[in-house]
Amino acid sequence: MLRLKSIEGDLVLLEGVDRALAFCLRQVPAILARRDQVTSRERFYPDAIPTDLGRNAEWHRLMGDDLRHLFEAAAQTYARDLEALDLHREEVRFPAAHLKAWMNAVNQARLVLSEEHQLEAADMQRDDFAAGSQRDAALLHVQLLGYVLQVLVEHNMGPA
Amino acid sequence: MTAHAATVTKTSPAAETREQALTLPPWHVIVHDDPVNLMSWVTLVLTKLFGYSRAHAERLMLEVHQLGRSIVWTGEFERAEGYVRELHGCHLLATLEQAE
Repeated sequence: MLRLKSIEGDLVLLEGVDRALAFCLRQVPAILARRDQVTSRERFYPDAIPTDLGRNAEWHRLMGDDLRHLFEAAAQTYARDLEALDLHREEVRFPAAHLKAWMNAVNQARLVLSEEHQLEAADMQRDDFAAGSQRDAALLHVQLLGYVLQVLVEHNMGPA
Repeated sequence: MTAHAATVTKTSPAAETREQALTLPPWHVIVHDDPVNLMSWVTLVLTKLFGYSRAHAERLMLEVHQLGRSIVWTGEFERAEGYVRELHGCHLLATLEQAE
């Protein structure tokens, strides 16, 4: 079972990373390399003031690079940390300060896959994955990364 | 014109700007529903960004989920703009709307 816990030296330990999850996590950097392609661009850089075209254009001009830098920084932090993934022990440890970057990177990957395959709300409840369907493989990947994200969020949120 | 009236009409440009900002309608920060973001992720973002309690953030998140959108903050434009930028940075669909 996947679990995140704080350990010594301001580190966190993600344990229970079996081979299937490790495969999913290792795909993330390649998925994020497609973030700025046409299929995902609007989702990552949405309109902020759709009722005012002038202000909205100014928004994109001012914020676009800023957001791109933020997404890229999270992706790089994640990719570096993931190199420490120990398949034998099924765990990876990384600085607790990087947790925000991890959540951001994992969620970015979910969004890229969802945009590429036009996944909708009803898809998120599905578990009838068709063999050979690339869309369903992407859906499964989104759901597995959602499971990882949920574990990271719960750790960050603390007890209710 | 009395001396008192003269001092009132001679406001500095900075004071005028402040006064104008106070009289302008505030801006709403609105979060919209999307099919991918986890409910727990939306709740976490709202607690961290606005400092809301978990219960309040969950109420707003459920409003987004059930009604399609929720006004999560209202105030001056510059702060609202900063919040939307942060929300976009966390992949939430957020817009700014001037209050009626």
